[in-house]
Amino acid sequence: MARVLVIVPFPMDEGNVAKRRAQLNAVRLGEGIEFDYKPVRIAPANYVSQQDSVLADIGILEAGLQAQADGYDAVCIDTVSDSGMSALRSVLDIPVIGPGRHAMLAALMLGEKFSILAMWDRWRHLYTKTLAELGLQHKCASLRSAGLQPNNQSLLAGKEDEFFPALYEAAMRCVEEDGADVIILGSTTMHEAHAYLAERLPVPIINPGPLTYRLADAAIRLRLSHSRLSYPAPSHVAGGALAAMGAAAERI
Amino acid sequence: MTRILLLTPADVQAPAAAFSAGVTDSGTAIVHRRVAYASTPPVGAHDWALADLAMLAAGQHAQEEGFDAVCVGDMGDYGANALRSVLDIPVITAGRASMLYALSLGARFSVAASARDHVRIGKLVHEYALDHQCAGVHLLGEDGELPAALDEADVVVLAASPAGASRSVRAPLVEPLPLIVKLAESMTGLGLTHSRRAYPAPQVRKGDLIDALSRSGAAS
Repeated sequence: MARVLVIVPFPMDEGNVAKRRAQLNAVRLGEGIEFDYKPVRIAPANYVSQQDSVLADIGILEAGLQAQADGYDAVCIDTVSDSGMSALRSVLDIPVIGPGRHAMLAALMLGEKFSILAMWDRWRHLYTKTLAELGLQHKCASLRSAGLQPNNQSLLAGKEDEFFPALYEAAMRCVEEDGADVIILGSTTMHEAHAYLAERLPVPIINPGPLTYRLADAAIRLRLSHSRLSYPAPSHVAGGALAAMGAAAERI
Repeated sequence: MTRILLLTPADVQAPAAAFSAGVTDSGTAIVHRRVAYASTPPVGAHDWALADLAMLAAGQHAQEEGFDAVCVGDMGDYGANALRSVLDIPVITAGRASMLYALSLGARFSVAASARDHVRIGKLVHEYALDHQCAGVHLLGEDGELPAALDEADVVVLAASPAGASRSVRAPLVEPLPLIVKLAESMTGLGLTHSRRAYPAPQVRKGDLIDALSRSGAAS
Protein backbone atom coordinates (compact mmCIF):
# COMPACT_ATOMS: atom_id res chain seq x y z
CA MET A 1 0.00 0.00 0.00
CA ALA A 2 1.39 3.39 -1.03
CA ARG A 3 0.77 6.14 1.52
CA VAL A 4 0.52 9.81 0.66
CA LEU A 5 0.50 12.67 3.15
CA VAL A 6 -1.71 15.59 2.15
CA ILE A 7 -0.70 18.72 4.05
CA VAL A 8 -3.65 21.02 4.72
CA PRO A 9 -2.33 24.58 4.96
CA PHE A 10 -4.44 25.81 7.90
CA PRO A 11 -5.10 24.44 11.39
CA MET A 12 -8.65 23.08 11.37
CA ASP A 13 -11.03 20.66 13.02
CA GLU A 14 -11.90 17.23 11.69
CA GLY A 15 -15.12 18.46 10.11
CA ASN A 16 -13.32 20.98 7.96
CA VAL A 17 -10.55 18.51 7.14
CA ALA A 18 -13.34 16.31 5.73
CA LYS A 19 -14.17 19.11 3.28
CA ARG A 20 -10.58 18.89 2.05
CA ARG A 21 -10.67 15.09 1.95
CA ALA A 22 -13.78 15.32 -0.25
CA GLN A 23 -11.44 16.18 -3.12
CA LEU A 24 -10.79 12.43 -3.36
CA ASN A 25 -14.32 12.02 -4.72
CA ALA A 26 -13.39 13.96 -7.87
CA VAL A 27 -10.84 11.47 -9.18
CA ARG A 28 -10.78 7.78 -10.04
CA LEU A 29 -7.65 6.33 -8.47
CA GLY A 30 -5.96 2.99 -8.88
CA GLU A 31 -5.91 0.49 -6.06
CA GLY A 32 -3.20 0.35 -3.43
CA ILE A 33 -2.89 4.03 -2.52
CA GLU A 34 -4.23 5.88 0.49
CA PHE A 35 -4.18 9.50 1.58
CA ASP A 36 -3.81 10.94 5.08
CA TYR A 37 -4.74 14.60 5.66
CA LYS A 38 -2.72 16.60 8.15
CA PRO A 39 -3.41 20.24 9.02
CA VAL A 40 -0.40 22.43 9.76
CA ARG A 41 0.27 23.96 13.17
CA ILE A 42 1.82 27.17 11.85
CA ALA A 43 -0.17 29.29 9.36
CA PRO A 44 -1.13 32.82 8.37
CA ALA A 45 -4.80 33.86 8.53
CA ASN A 46 -4.94 33.66 4.75
CA TYR A 47 -2.63 33.93 1.73
CA VAL A 48 -2.83 37.54 0.63
CA SER A 49 0.65 38.94 1.20
CA GLN A 50 4.30 38.00 1.23
CA GLN A 51 4.22 37.85 5.04
CA ASP A 52 1.66 35.11 4.68
CA SER A 53 3.83 33.27 2.18
CA VAL A 54 6.75 33.06 4.61
CA LEU A 55 4.51 31.71 7.38
CA ALA A 56 2.93 29.26 4.95
CA ASP A 57 6.35 27.96 3.85
CA ILE A 58 7.41 27.42 7.46
CA GLY A 59 4.12 25.79 8.46
CA ILE A 60 4.08 23.33 5.58
CA LEU A 61 7.78 22.54 5.99
CA GLU A 62 7.21 21.80 9.67
CA ALA A 63 4.17 19.63 8.94
CA GLY A 64 5.91 17.56 6.27
CA LEU A 65 9.43 17.32 7.64
CA GLN A 66 8.97 13.81 9.05
CA ALA A 67 6.84 12.45 6.21
CA GLN A 68 9.55 10.21 4.81
CA ALA A 69 10.63 8.96 8.25
CA ASP A 70 6.97 8.28 9.02
CA GLY A 71 6.80 5.93 6.04
CA TYR A 72 4.99 8.07 3.52
CA ASP A 73 5.75 7.53 -0.15
CA ALA A 74 4.80 11.02 -1.35
CA VAL A 75 3.54 14.38 -0.09
CA CYS A 76 0.81 16.48 -1.69
CA ILE A 77 0.39 20.09 -0.66
CA ASP A 78 -3.23 21.23 -0.50
CA THR A 79 -2.67 24.78 -1.71
CA VAL A 80 -2.17 26.10 -5.24
CA SER A 81 0.41 28.52 -3.84
CA ASP A 82 2.78 25.51 -3.63
CA SER A 83 3.90 26.95 -0.31
CA GLY A 84 6.54 24.83 1.36
CA MET A 85 7.03 22.65 -1.72
CA SER A 86 10.58 23.74 -2.48
CA ALA A 87 11.62 23.61 1.18
CA LEU A 88 10.21 20.11 1.61
CA ARG A 89 11.81 18.93 -1.62
CA SER A 90 15.17 20.07 -0.32
CA VAL A 91 14.90 17.78 2.73
CA LEU A 92 12.82 14.85 1.42
CA ASP A 93 13.70 12.26 -1.21
CA ILE A 94 10.06 11.23 -1.76
CA PRO A 95 8.01 13.17 -4.34
CA VAL A 96 6.48 16.43 -3.10
CA ILE A 97 3.64 17.51 -5.36
CA GLY A 98 2.51 21.14 -5.47
CA PRO A 99 -0.79 21.69 -7.26
CA GLY A 100 0.09 25.10 -8.72
CA ARG A 101 3.17 24.02 -10.64
CA HIS A 102 1.68 20.69 -11.67
CA ALA A 103 -1.61 22.22 -12.82
CA MET A 104 0.18 24.71 -15.05
CA LEU A 105 2.31 21.97 -16.64
CA ALA A 106 -0.69 19.66 -17.05
CA ALA A 107 -2.66 22.50 -18.64
CA LEU A 108 -0.01 22.73 -21.34
CA MET A 109 -0.63 19.07 -22.17
CA LEU A 110 -4.26 20.02 -22.95
CA GLY A 111 -3.89 23.36 -24.73
CA GLU A 112 -1.55 26.20 -25.65
CA LYS A 113 -2.65 28.80 -23.10
CA PHE A 114 -4.27 28.64 -19.69
CA SER A 115 -6.01 31.08 -17.37
CA ILE A 116 -6.08 30.89 -13.62
CA LEU A 117 -9.48 31.52 -12.08
CA ALA A 118 -9.29 32.87 -8.53
CA MET A 119 -11.86 33.77 -5.92
CA TRP A 120 -10.37 37.23 -5.46
CA ASP A 121 -7.49 39.36 -6.71
CA ARG A 122 -5.60 39.08 -3.43
CA TRP A 123 -4.31 35.68 -4.57
CA ARG A 124 -2.64 37.10 -7.67
CA HIS A 125 0.88 37.13 -6.17
CA LEU A 126 0.70 33.38 -5.58
CA TYR A 127 0.36 32.67 -9.28
CA THR A 128 2.83 35.23 -10.57
CA LYS A 129 5.48 33.65 -8.33
CA THR A 130 5.04 30.15 -9.74
CA LEU A 131 4.72 31.44 -13.31
CA ALA A 132 8.02 33.29 -12.86
CA GLU A 133 9.72 30.21 -11.38
CA LEU A 134 8.58 28.12 -14.33
CA GLY A 135 9.33 30.89 -16.84
CA LEU A 136 5.96 30.25 -18.46
CA GLN A 137 4.38 33.71 -18.20
CA HIS A 138 3.84 33.74 -21.97
CA LYS A 139 1.65 30.65 -21.67
CA CYS A 140 -0.72 32.29 -19.20
CA ALA A 141 -3.65 33.95 -20.98
CA SER A 142 -4.86 35.69 -17.83
CA LEU A 143 -5.28 35.70 -14.09
CA ARG A 144 -8.91 36.50 -13.35
CA SER A 145 -10.96 36.54 -10.21
CA ALA A 146 -14.67 36.55 -9.45
CA GLY A 147 -14.26 39.17 -6.71
CA LEU A 148 -15.50 36.82 -3.99
CA GLN A 149 -14.36 36.59 -0.37
CA PRO A 150 -13.01 33.06 0.23
CA ASN A 151 -13.27 31.08 3.44
CA ASN A 152 -10.46 28.57 3.93
CA GLN A 153 -12.41 26.61 6.57
CA SER A 154 -16.00 26.27 5.33
CA LEU A 155 -14.96 26.63 1.64
CA LEU A 156 -17.99 27.36 -0.59
CA ALA A 157 -20.71 25.79 1.56
CA GLY A 158 -23.99 27.72 1.62
CA LYS A 159 -22.81 30.18 -1.03
CA GLU A 160 -23.16 28.00 -4.11
CA ASP A 161 -26.04 29.99 -5.64
CA GLU A 162 -24.07 33.21 -5.53
CA PHE A 163 -20.55 31.95 -6.10
CA PHE A 164 -20.90 29.28 -8.78
CA PRO A 165 -22.47 31.57 -11.43
CA ALA A 166 -19.96 34.33 -10.62
CA LEU A 167 -17.08 31.89 -11.12
CA TYR A 168 -18.64 30.69 -14.37
CA GLU A 169 -18.89 34.25 -15.69
CA ALA A 170 -15.27 35.00 -14.83
CA ALA A 171 -14.17 31.72 -16.44
CA MET A 172 -16.06 32.53 -19.64
CA ARG A 173 -14.27 35.87 -19.82
CA CYS A 174 -10.97 33.97 -19.59
CA VAL A 175 -12.04 31.92 -22.61
CA GLU A 176 -13.76 34.55 -24.74
CA GLU A 177 -11.78 37.69 -23.95
CA ASP A 178 -8.37 36.34 -22.93
CA GLY A 179 -8.06 33.32 -25.22
CA ALA A 180 -7.66 30.61 -22.61
CA ASP A 181 -7.69 27.04 -23.90
CA VAL A 182 -7.69 25.61 -20.39
CA ILE A 183 -8.82 26.98 -17.02
CA ILE A 184 -7.08 26.17 -13.74
CA LEU A 185 -9.01 26.56 -10.50
CA GLY A 186 -6.86 28.99 -8.53
CA SER A 187 -7.31 27.29 -5.20
CA THR A 188 -7.93 23.81 -3.85
CA THR A 189 -10.57 25.52 -1.66
CA MET A 190 -12.62 26.01 -4.84
CA HIS A 191 -12.95 22.29 -5.57
CA GLU A 192 -16.65 22.22 -4.72
CA ALA A 193 -17.28 24.40 -7.79
CA HIS A 194 -15.36 22.16 -10.18
CA ALA A 195 -18.16 19.84 -11.30
CA TYR A 196 -20.53 22.78 -11.86
CA LEU A 197 -17.96 24.59 -14.01
CA ALA A 198 -16.75 21.48 -15.86
CA GLU A 199 -20.31 20.75 -16.99
CA ARG A 200 -20.80 24.24 -18.38
CA LEU A 201 -17.49 25.51 -19.73
CA PRO A 202 -16.45 24.92 -23.36
CA VAL A 203 -12.86 24.19 -22.29
CA PRO A 204 -11.23 21.80 -19.80
CA ILE A 205 -10.95 23.00 -16.21
CA ILE A 206 -8.31 21.54 -13.94
CA ASN A 207 -9.18 20.67 -10.35
CA PRO A 208 -5.68 21.03 -8.89
CA GLY A 209 -6.02 19.01 -5.68
CA PRO A 210 -7.28 15.80 -7.31
CA LEU A 211 -4.65 16.26 -10.03
CA THR A 212 -1.95 16.01 -7.37
CA TYR A 213 -3.37 12.70 -6.13
CA ARG A 214 -3.01 11.18 -9.57
CA LEU A 215 0.45 12.65 -10.08
CA ALA A 216 1.56 11.34 -6.68
CA ASP A 217 0.47 7.89 -7.82
CA ALA A 218 2.36 8.33 -11.11
CA ALA A 219 5.54 9.51 -9.38
CA ILE A 220 5.45 6.62 -6.89
CA ARG A 221 4.84 3.96 -9.52
CA LEU A 222 7.44 5.39 -11.89
CA ARG A 223 9.94 5.85 -9.03
CA LEU A 224 10.46 9.47 -10.00
CA SER A 225 11.24 12.28 -7.63
CA HIS A 226 12.60 15.80 -7.82
CA SER A 227 16.13 16.70 -8.86
CA ARG A 228 18.75 17.25 -6.13
CA LEU A 229 20.45 19.76 -8.39
CA SER A 230 17.30 21.89 -8.48
CA TYR A 231 16.53 21.26 -4.80
CA PRO A 232 19.87 20.87 -2.99
CA ALA A 233 19.86 19.41 0.52
CA PRO A 234 20.63 21.71 3.49
CA SER A 235 23.84 21.28 5.46
CA HIS A 236 21.68 20.23 8.39
CA VAL A 237 17.93 19.98 8.97
CA ALA A 238 16.65 22.32 11.66
CA GLY A 239 14.20 19.74 12.94
CA GLY A 240 14.42 20.80 16.58
CA ALA A 241 13.89 24.46 15.83
CA LEU A 242 10.94 23.76 13.55
CA ALA A 243 9.28 21.46 16.10
CA ALA A 244 9.69 24.17 18.74
CA MET A 245 8.09 26.66 16.38
CA GLY A 246 5.18 24.30 15.80
CA ALA A 247 4.65 23.91 19.52
CA ALA A 248 4.87 27.68 20.02
CA ALA A 249 2.26 28.32 17.34
CA GLU A 250 -0.13 25.88 18.98
CA ARG A 251 0.11 27.82 22.25
CA ILE A 252 -0.83 31.13 20.60
CA MET B 1 -11.48 -0.50 -17.02
CA THR B 2 -9.34 2.08 -18.82
CA ARG B 3 -8.37 1.18 -22.38
CA ILE B 4 -5.31 2.94 -23.75
CA LEU B 5 -4.10 2.78 -27.33
CA LEU B 6 -0.31 3.03 -27.41
CA LEU B 7 1.19 3.89 -30.78
CA THR B 8 4.93 3.42 -31.23
CA PRO B 9 7.07 3.76 -34.35
CA ALA B 10 7.88 0.52 -36.18
CA ASP B 11 11.40 1.69 -37.01
CA VAL B 12 12.34 1.69 -33.33
CA GLN B 13 12.72 -1.49 -31.32
CA ALA B 14 9.47 -2.41 -29.58
CA PRO B 15 9.44 -1.28 -25.96
CA ALA B 16 8.87 -4.74 -24.52
CA ALA B 17 10.27 -3.94 -21.10
CA ALA B 18 8.91 -0.43 -20.82
CA PHE B 19 6.22 -1.38 -18.33
CA SER B 20 7.45 -3.07 -15.23
CA ALA B 21 4.81 -4.80 -13.16
CA GLY B 22 2.74 -2.53 -10.98
CA VAL B 23 3.19 0.65 -12.98
CA THR B 24 -0.35 0.81 -14.32
CA ASP B 25 -3.64 0.44 -12.46
CA SER B 26 -4.95 -3.13 -12.46
CA GLY B 27 -7.95 -1.91 -14.43
CA THR B 28 -5.86 -0.48 -17.25
CA ALA B 29 -5.54 -2.34 -20.54
CA ILE B 30 -2.93 -1.23 -23.05
CA VAL B 31 -3.30 -2.11 -26.72
CA HIS B 32 0.01 -1.58 -28.46
CA ARG B 33 0.17 -0.83 -32.17
CA ARG B 34 3.37 -0.35 -34.07
CA VAL B 35 3.13 2.29 -36.76
CA ALA B 36 5.22 2.21 -39.94
CA TYR B 37 6.21 5.56 -41.43
CA ALA B 38 6.63 5.81 -45.21
CA SER B 39 10.11 7.28 -44.81
CA THR B 40 12.48 6.36 -42.00
CA PRO B 41 14.37 7.32 -40.02
CA PRO B 42 12.35 10.53 -39.64
CA VAL B 43 15.19 13.03 -39.75
CA GLY B 44 13.73 15.86 -41.85
CA ALA B 45 10.54 17.65 -42.81
CA HIS B 46 9.66 15.27 -45.66
CA ASP B 47 9.77 12.32 -43.27
CA TRP B 48 7.92 14.23 -40.57
CA ALA B 49 4.97 15.00 -42.83
CA LEU B 50 4.65 11.31 -43.64
CA ALA B 51 5.02 10.36 -39.99
CA ASP B 52 2.23 12.81 -39.09
CA LEU B 53 -0.05 11.07 -41.57
CA ALA B 54 0.88 7.58 -40.34
CA MET B 55 0.18 8.38 -36.67
CA LEU B 56 -3.05 10.14 -37.56
CA ALA B 57 -4.20 7.12 -39.56
CA ALA B 58 -3.23 4.71 -36.78
CA GLY B 59 -5.13 6.58 -34.09
CA GLN B 60 -7.97 8.43 -35.76
CA HIS B 61 -10.58 5.75 -35.00
CA ALA B 62 -9.47 5.17 -31.41
CA GLN B 63 -12.59 6.67 -29.89
CA GLU B 64 -15.04 4.55 -31.90
CA GLU B 65 -12.86 1.53 -31.16
CA GLY B 66 -13.67 2.10 -27.51
CA PHE B 67 -10.38 3.50 -26.25
CA ASP B 68 -10.33 6.01 -23.39
CA ALA B 69 -7.01 7.61 -24.34
CA VAL B 70 -4.29 7.53 -26.98
CA CYS B 71 -0.57 7.63 -26.27
CA VAL B 72 1.81 8.61 -29.06
CA GLY B 73 5.05 6.91 -28.08
CA ASP B 74 7.40 8.77 -30.38
CA MET B 75 9.45 11.67 -29.03
CA GLY B 76 8.72 13.46 -32.31
CA ASP B 77 5.01 13.82 -31.36
CA TYR B 78 4.04 12.98 -34.93
CA GLY B 79 0.37 13.39 -35.70
CA ALA B 80 -0.35 14.49 -32.14
CA ASN B 81 -2.13 17.75 -32.85
CA ALA B 82 -4.07 16.22 -35.73
CA LEU B 83 -5.21 13.36 -33.50
CA ARG B 84 -6.39 15.85 -30.89
CA SER B 85 -8.39 17.67 -33.53
CA VAL B 86 -10.34 14.52 -34.47
CA LEU B 87 -10.62 12.85 -31.04
CA ASP B 88 -12.39 13.89 -27.85
CA ILE B 89 -10.37 11.47 -25.71
CA PRO B 90 -7.00 12.62 -24.34
CA VAL B 91 -3.95 12.24 -26.59
CA ILE B 92 -0.75 12.12 -24.56
CA THR B 93 2.46 12.39 -26.49
CA ALA B 94 5.98 11.42 -25.51
CA GLY B 95 7.78 14.62 -26.46
CA ARG B 96 5.44 17.21 -25.07
CA ALA B 97 4.43 15.32 -21.93
CA SER B 98 7.91 14.22 -20.91
CA MET B 99 9.41 17.69 -21.29
CA LEU B 100 6.60 19.35 -19.34
CA TYR B 101 6.67 16.63 -16.70
CA ALA B 102 10.44 17.05 -16.35
CA LEU B 103 9.77 20.62 -15.23
CA SER B 104 7.74 19.30 -12.33
CA LEU B 105 10.94 17.62 -11.07
CA GLY B 106 13.52 20.32 -11.62
CA ALA B 107 14.20 23.81 -12.89
CA ARG B 108 15.58 22.74 -16.28
CA PHE B 109 15.74 19.56 -18.30
CA SER B 110 18.16 17.98 -20.74
CA VAL B 111 17.22 15.53 -23.45
CA ALA B 112 19.32 12.55 -24.49
CA ALA B 113 18.42 11.64 -28.06
CA SER B 114 19.61 9.39 -30.84
CA ALA B 115 20.45 10.80 -34.27
CA ARG B 116 16.94 9.74 -35.35
CA ASP B 117 15.25 12.29 -33.10
CA HIS B 118 17.90 14.90 -32.41
CA VAL B 119 16.82 17.61 -34.86
CA ARG B 120 13.11 17.00 -34.36
CA ILE B 121 13.34 17.36 -30.58
CA GLY B 122 15.21 20.64 -30.94
CA LYS B 123 12.37 21.86 -33.13
CA LEU B 124 9.73 20.75 -30.62
CA VAL B 125 11.52 22.43 -27.71
CA HIS B 126 11.24 25.68 -29.62
CA GLU B 127 7.66 25.06 -30.75
CA TYR B 128 6.55 24.37 -27.19
CA ALA B 129 8.33 27.56 -26.10
CA LEU B 130 10.59 25.69 -23.69
CA ASP B 131 13.92 27.06 -24.97
CA HIS B 132 14.67 28.72 -21.65
CA GLN B 133 13.89 25.57 -19.69
CA CYS B 134 15.84 23.18 -21.90
CA ALA B 135 19.53 22.92 -20.99
CA GLY B 136 20.29 21.03 -24.18
CA VAL B 137 19.43 18.19 -26.52
CA HIS B 138 22.40 15.83 -26.45
CA LEU B 139 23.28 13.04 -28.83
CA LEU B 140 23.68 9.59 -27.38
CA GLY B 141 26.94 7.86 -28.17
CA GLU B 142 27.21 5.21 -30.88
CA ASP B 143 26.58 2.43 -28.37
CA GLY B 144 23.80 4.35 -26.65
CA GLU B 145 26.05 5.77 -23.97
CA LEU B 146 24.75 8.90 -22.30
CA PRO B 147 26.96 11.93 -23.03
CA ALA B 148 29.08 13.32 -20.20
CA ALA B 149 27.20 16.65 -20.38
CA LEU B 150 24.25 14.94 -18.70
CA ASP B 151 26.26 14.44 -15.51
CA GLU B 152 25.37 18.03 -14.63
CA ALA B 153 21.72 17.94 -15.76
CA ASP B 154 18.87 18.77 -13.38
CA VAL B 155 16.52 16.29 -15.03
CA VAL B 156 17.12 14.02 -18.04
CA VAL B 157 14.49 13.04 -20.58
CA LEU B 158 15.63 9.82 -22.19
CA ALA B 159 14.42 9.97 -25.78
CA ALA B 160 15.68 6.50 -26.62
CA SER B 161 15.44 2.95 -25.38
CA PRO B 162 16.55 2.76 -21.72
CA ALA B 163 18.41 -0.44 -22.57
CA GLY B 164 20.84 1.60 -24.61
CA ALA B 165 21.63 4.08 -21.87
CA SER B 166 24.69 2.65 -20.26
CA ARG B 167 25.92 5.56 -18.15
CA SER B 168 24.07 6.20 -14.94
CA VAL B 169 23.20 9.80 -14.15
CA ARG B 170 22.50 11.46 -10.82
CA ALA B 171 19.50 13.32 -12.19
CA PRO B 172 15.95 11.96 -12.30
CA LEU B 173 15.59 10.04 -15.55
CA VAL B 174 12.24 10.49 -17.29
CA GLU B 175 11.37 7.56 -19.55
CA PRO B 176 8.61 8.73 -21.87
CA LEU B 177 6.66 5.54 -22.51
CA PRO B 178 5.69 4.54 -18.98
CA LEU B 179 5.18 8.23 -18.19
CA ILE B 180 2.67 8.85 -20.96
CA VAL B 181 0.67 5.79 -19.99
CA LYS B 182 0.49 7.01 -16.37
CA LEU B 183 -0.50 10.48 -17.55
CA ALA B 184 -3.18 9.00 -19.80
CA GLU B 185 -4.57 7.14 -16.78
CA SER B 186 -4.40 10.38 -14.81
CA MET B 187 -6.29 12.40 -17.40
CA THR B 188 -9.01 9.80 -17.77
CA GLY B 189 -9.23 9.42 -14.00
CA LEU B 190 -9.79 13.16 -13.71
CA GLY B 191 -12.19 13.38 -16.64
CA LEU B 192 -9.81 15.69 -18.48
CA THR B 193 -9.09 15.98 -22.16
CA HIS B 194 -7.57 18.55 -24.50
CA SER B 195 -9.15 21.90 -25.24
CA ARG B 196 -11.25 22.32 -28.35
CA ARG B 197 -10.09 25.94 -28.42
CA ALA B 198 -6.55 24.78 -29.03
CA TYR B 199 -7.48 21.79 -31.19
CA PRO B 200 -10.66 22.66 -33.12
CA ALA B 201 -12.45 19.83 -34.88
CA PRO B 202 -12.31 19.86 -38.69
CA GLN B 203 -15.49 20.98 -40.47
CA VAL B 204 -15.27 17.91 -42.67
CA ARG B 205 -13.79 14.69 -41.35
CA LYS B 206 -11.65 12.92 -43.93
CA GLY B 207 -11.24 9.60 -42.20
CA ASP B 208 -11.66 7.50 -45.33
CA LEU B 209 -9.14 9.55 -47.27
CA ILE B 210 -6.61 9.30 -44.46
CA ASP B 211 -7.10 5.53 -44.27
CA ALA B 212 -6.72 5.23 -48.05
CA LEU B 213 -3.58 7.33 -48.12
CA SER B 214 -2.10 5.31 -45.31
CA ARG B 215 -2.93 1.96 -46.95
CA SER B 216 -1.64 2.95 -50.37
CA GLY B 217 1.55 4.36 -48.91
CA ALA B 218 2.18 1.15 -47.00
CA ALA B 219 1.50 -1.01 -50.08
CA SER B 220 3.87 0.84 -52.39
